[in-house]
Amino acid sequence: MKSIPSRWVVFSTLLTLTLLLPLGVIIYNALGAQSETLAHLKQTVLNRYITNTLLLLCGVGILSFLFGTLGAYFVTFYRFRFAKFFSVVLVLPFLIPSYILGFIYSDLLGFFGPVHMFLQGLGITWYFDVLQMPTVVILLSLALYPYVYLIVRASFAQNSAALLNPALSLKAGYFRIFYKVILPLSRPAIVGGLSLVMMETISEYGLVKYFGVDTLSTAVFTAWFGLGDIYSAAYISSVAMLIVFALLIIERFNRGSARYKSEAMQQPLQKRRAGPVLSIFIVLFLSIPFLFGFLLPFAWIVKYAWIHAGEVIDREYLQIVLQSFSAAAVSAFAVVLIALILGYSARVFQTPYMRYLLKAATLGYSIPGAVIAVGILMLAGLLDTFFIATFSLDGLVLGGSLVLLCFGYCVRFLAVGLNSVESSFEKVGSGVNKASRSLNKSLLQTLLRIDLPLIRGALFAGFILVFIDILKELPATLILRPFNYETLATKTYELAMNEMVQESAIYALSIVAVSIIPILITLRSYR
Amino acid sequence: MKPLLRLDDIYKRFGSKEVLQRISLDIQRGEIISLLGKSGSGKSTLLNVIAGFESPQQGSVTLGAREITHTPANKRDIGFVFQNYALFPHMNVLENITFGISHLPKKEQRSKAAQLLELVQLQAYANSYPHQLSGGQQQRIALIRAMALEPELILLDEPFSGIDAILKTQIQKQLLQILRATQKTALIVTHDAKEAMAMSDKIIYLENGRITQYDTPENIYRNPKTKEIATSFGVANFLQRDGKLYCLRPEACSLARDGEFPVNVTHCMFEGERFNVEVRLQNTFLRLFCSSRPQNNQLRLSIDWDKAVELEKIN
Repeated sequence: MKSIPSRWVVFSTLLTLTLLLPLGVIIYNALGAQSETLAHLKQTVLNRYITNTLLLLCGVGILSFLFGTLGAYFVTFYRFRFAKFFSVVLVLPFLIPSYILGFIYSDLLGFFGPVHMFLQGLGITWYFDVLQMPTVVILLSLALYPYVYLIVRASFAQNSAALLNPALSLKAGYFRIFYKVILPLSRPAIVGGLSLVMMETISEYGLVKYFGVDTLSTAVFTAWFGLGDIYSAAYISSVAMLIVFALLIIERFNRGSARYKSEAMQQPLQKRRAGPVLSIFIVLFLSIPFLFGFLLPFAWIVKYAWIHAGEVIDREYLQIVLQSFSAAAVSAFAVVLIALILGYSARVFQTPYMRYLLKAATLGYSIPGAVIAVGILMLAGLLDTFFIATFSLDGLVLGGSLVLLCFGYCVRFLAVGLNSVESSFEKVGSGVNKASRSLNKSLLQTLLRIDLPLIRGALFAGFILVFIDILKELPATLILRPFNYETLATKTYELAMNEMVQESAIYALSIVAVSIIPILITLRSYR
Repeated sequence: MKPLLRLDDIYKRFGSKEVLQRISLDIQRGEIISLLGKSGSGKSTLLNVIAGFESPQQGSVTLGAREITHTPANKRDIGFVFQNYALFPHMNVLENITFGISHLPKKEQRSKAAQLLELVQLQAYANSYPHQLSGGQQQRIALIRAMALEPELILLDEPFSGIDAILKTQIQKQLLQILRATQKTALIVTHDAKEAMAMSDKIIYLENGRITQYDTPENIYRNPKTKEIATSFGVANFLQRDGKLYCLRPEACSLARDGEFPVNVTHCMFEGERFNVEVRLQNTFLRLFCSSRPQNNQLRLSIDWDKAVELEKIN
């Protein structure tokens, strides 16, 4: 008798291949890509798109590193006034999606904005142009540095607490310890956080578009919608994917073979009291991301949401909320279900094959939303042509349907769901699963009666995280949504693009309000 | 007699690491066997292959008359008591026990559970949840949960690892009594040689994925085949002679005026009933037991060569 692959492994493989299909179609189309438009693009603007994207990556990378790492450092190792307060509020910029941050600052800094009016009131008529790269870099960094902050803070807390005291006892100075012990130990965390920031930067659409900085992400849009050229869109998408893969490889190699988890006993960390000058510096420094990344924009949103609440909250608003929530809920459910199937198969069949399969299935998380969306449209086009030819239908089956949008979310956010599933399985341990199987229960029975009840809570938390991510998602939603189908994100974007930034506040506030949930979850799990 | 379990030429590797190399063995009905080896010797993998959680690349597993090499774990009729017991935390004791026999009528499930609870004297805990039980109680529930399906073979993975050293002997005794009373065939994985000697009819010793000895506890102690086995099961001295490697238990050595080898006493510890003495013979240190403290540092060692065992040299 030969061993045959289990149904679970086969099914997981099929699911993964389906999720990878859009990326495959892009690469396929890009390989032989030749069109006049593409040739023209290559000659004229493509280089600028690439340069802009790389410049953004560098700028946002450096600033996020500074805010995130220094923030985590001060909060972990120093005692100063408001330390506890800052350790919490430094996460808050996560609440405000980058494109909303962009709209707000363009309003604040615009010609009729308060900053300019104030300057004019002082008799200064100098006007600065904000539609520029540096603004985008700063705003994106403000929106994204919490990735670095959270991951690095966790790493500091885990490793350094155990090693700070031994290092101190060896008579090393604080600066030397930070430089020689803490920073190298936390390098994988820093690089991990930065790579998340950079993936988000490549994926960024709303903010860069609004400020007129052309990146690969906006170029994919233009090629698809403006020029209607499949090959150009595929080619540009492939360039974006290439950068993503390069980042992934750097991140992987960076981890190398050294071990970064200290086996030393966890000890309570003796925080160092900051002197008066340092205290003031720390508070001022930490206030920058908090003030400009959260407080100011949040106040703006609340103010204009309040002003426009009467005129904007109507049937349309409620319909959009309902549409957003139902699309996000259905998609998040699908994501969690797929994640459960894949995660469970990997739990039962702990083979290298399954490990690679899961890596492949979660690839979409690092691919820009616009790229995934364009891949899905290409795929849908192929399938629709096939359906129409075979079943002689007279309309599109997939094109413009919600199925595509839902599929897009699955490709993009499976990693988030799978992360929750895997970590909760790890906590439960494999014993109960094997025990149930040794008591003659099949894999499905075991899943339903043992594993599922035990990870129910974590699964729900995962669902919420995916749900919020979907609510905030902009580029893929813009491309894949059915005609005239608005979500909170697209409506915010559209109002802002149509010079009605202040009227968009109520939609922005709705997104922010819902986003508070995962922040609460994160805060709880990092404490 | 036809064995209950037969492993034939089992080979298993993970990537390039060969974990089980050509394992063949028979277990007879009613035997209690210990599977012993250091961590990384492959004993857990072997247990998983028997239980059906891992598939071997080569070889076959036969249970009774059935070849089950690639049969899924849930169709094998092999009971498994897990390390840390793996009781289902969201079910009470009764639900845990009846989980495997849910295909039976409710009444039958209950009477069976009651019988089993009585067997391990935990009738009062039917409605308790696992976290409310002590380690020893959890272990017994895990055992009867596996026994509810009346499997022909029960596998126990490190069943005493979570139990207080003080209670261990008593709980070992209880477990042994239950297994003997129900005439079960059991394979117990352990890394504790004392435990293996106390519990089992025979011991399988695994080194680097190979069985180096499969014998009764007495024989393993007296005639260890390898250096590792010799040291695992008690104090062992090793001596090279005529190009051969010998194992000498302390019982084979004594200090005597007319001994064949001159030795120096390097260390002497009083252990109550005896003195534990270390002597040096050229470059080798040997351990032996004396009833009185050696009076002199320059003594002669006498060896009872009948009790010496020649070791296989395997690498």
